Amino acid sequence: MRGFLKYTFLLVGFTVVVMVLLDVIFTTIYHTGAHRSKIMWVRDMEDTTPVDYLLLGSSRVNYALQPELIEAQTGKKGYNLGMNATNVVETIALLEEFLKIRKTAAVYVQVDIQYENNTPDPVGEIPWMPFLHEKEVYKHFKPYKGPYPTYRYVPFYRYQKFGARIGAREAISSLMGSGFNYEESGGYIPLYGRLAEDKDFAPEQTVTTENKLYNNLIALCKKNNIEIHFFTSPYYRFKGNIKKLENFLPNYTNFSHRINERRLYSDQVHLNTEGARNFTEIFIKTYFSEQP
Amino acid sequence: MLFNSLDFAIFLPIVFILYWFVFGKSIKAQNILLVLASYVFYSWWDWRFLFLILFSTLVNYGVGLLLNKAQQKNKRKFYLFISIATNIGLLGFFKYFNFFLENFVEAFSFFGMNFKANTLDIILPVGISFYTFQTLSYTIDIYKKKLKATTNFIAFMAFVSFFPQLVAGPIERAVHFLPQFFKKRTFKKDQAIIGIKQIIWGLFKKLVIADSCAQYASDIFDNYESYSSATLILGVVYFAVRIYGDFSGYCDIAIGTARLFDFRLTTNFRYPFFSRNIAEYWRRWNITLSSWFRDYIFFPLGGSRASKLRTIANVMVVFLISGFWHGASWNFIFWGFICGVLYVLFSFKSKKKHSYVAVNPNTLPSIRAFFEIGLVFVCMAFTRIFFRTISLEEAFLYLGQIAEFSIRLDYLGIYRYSVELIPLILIMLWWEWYSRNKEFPLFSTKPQLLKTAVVILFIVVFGNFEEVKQFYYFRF
Repeated sequence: MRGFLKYTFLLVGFTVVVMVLLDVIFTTIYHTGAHRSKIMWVRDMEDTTPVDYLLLGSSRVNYALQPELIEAQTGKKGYNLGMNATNVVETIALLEEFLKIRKTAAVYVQVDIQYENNTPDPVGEIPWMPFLHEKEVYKHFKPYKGPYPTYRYVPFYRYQKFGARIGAREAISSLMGSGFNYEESGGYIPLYGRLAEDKDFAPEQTVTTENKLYNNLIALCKKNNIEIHFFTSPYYRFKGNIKKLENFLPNYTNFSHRINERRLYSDQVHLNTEGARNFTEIFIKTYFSEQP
Repeated sequence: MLFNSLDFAIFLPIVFILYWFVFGKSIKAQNILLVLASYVFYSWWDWRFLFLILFSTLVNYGVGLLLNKAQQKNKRKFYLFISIATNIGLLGFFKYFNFFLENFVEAFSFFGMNFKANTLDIILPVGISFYTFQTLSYTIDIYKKKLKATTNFIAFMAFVSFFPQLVAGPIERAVHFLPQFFKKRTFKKDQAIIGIKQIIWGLFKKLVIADSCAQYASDIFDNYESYSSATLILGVVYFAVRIYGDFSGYCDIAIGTARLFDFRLTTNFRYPFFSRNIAEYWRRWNITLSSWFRDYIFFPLGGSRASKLRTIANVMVVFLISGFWHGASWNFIFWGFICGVLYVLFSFKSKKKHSYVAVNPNTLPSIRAFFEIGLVFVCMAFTRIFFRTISLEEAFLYLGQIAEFSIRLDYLGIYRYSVELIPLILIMLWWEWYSRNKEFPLFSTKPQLLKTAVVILFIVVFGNFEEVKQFYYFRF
């Protein structure tokens, strides 16, 4: 029995050592490798000159606004930091990361029917996992229910749990230098294809109660002397109810009905490249019209 | 409780410690512990169905005793009938009631007699198909006087509910398995180390191969309308490998776990992907179920001793029942039919060939054998379309889509390792190929630390831990 127990403990010990080593290797890669997410890009920015604006929010920012075009038409320099499935928790975290390195004069935050979500998003939180061991990052997730302590303290578990997004494939890609050149497009990610179905978008989700977490975002901006605006990106044939957003948020603009051509959408909630160009022009007219 | 869950990782060491260190001196106490542990294990899924296992245990135990006493043939037949009726009745109700009801209604409406019959919302108890067959073999073997009924109820309970193989086999025969509950168990280091290594190999097949293949196979099968022929063929391959990795992985964990308690379970898979003809494939795939059908259905029907036509009919009956055993729907029955047809075709076509599993593991197959192995794989993988789709109609639509011959390979990057998965599968097959004279690739009484460590590394890095995925055969 003793020999068997020794053998078993050896295997368990080996597994633990492997997990610790892999955790160190993967975390190092995500700190130093090619950018596989905008978090990696922001944390790795070398240029510390202040920017004019930041675009924050979910995929409805990520695929919708083109900083290159804004700069070409207005001369204003800024970034699209929209990340898929991002809620306000991740938005605050990303803005804080950015502010550690650079300053911004204004932020434009996209809000929509997901406004009431007041916890980290199960998908949106994943790119943050490699940095969860850092106090400054962990503090954003710690208050919420979920296995965040396990992700933080069990070595390598987070890379296993979210293998599809930050596992071996991603880590190896990052290590091999295969990243995204966010700087080139200012963070805008193009989305191709055209919406096939011509039907209303009538989500059941509505905006009825205030999400207090946005106050934290507003307070963060105030503290750093940043002008904050909220807006809703276009939807195709939108029949949802987001009226209350104008009561809950300052400087709010609703663009949800501003683009009605089906060919400009990739799906009912996301614009394609042509739609993004179109929307960026509307955005420029709304917010930067006083500029040449 | 699932073998690939944290619950089981805690449960197993507790039972192991109690079994050897607390109850180690008494066989009876060990059997009681095994029964309790097995019932806890099963109740993790749904405690209500423990009564079903208990009922099945009581009936078959009682019938066994009655068969022991009865001398008259008619009486013995009657007792056997009770056992068969109870076992098949339970299976029939829980697994086939809605199927028969729906088909009766459809059949009557075909003749213009329309009536309404509400199907019942019946949950299929996990493992019922497996423990039912196991208990059936017990009473049939007593009837055939191959075995004497046991009077030890606790041992019989442990035999029916033994947790490593309770929910998905291997289906053990009482002749082989029941006596193990009466013999004194001694801890054997070598066997226990083999057991641990077999569990690790099973986890590799489940977590690295099967669960990763499952993501792609599910995505492709569930959205087959939007994919090209090439992608659909990839889906077929992924599903075939998934089924193998999942089920054989489960069996490896089951057999390995049993070894830790000094029990020997029957090998259920013997490298079926290296078979050179369909008959050989079925001798290597789900061996305990195949041999159950052979011994309790094929042989009583006359086996292959009768005319060619009768033999073919017997083969077809066995495969049709096997299909129906897997699931209560026409696509499973059709799957059984196709497998039967292929079996017959290959049996009559092929001459006896030496098995590539048996020969020197260091040799590569000849070109001819390579193509034969490939052909068997392709045939069996394609039959799985009927196994995976939810209806016969969908299976033919899937095949129709393949027949369009569009060769573009769709982007499957929504999950991980879309193409990277292929090398992982090849690594598994390569390792199995060179280990095919062993029970499983890590089989050795020596610690073989390096090989085991490599497998652990693969599990840690490439294992699918996103969710605890159920084993595919639990649904049967």
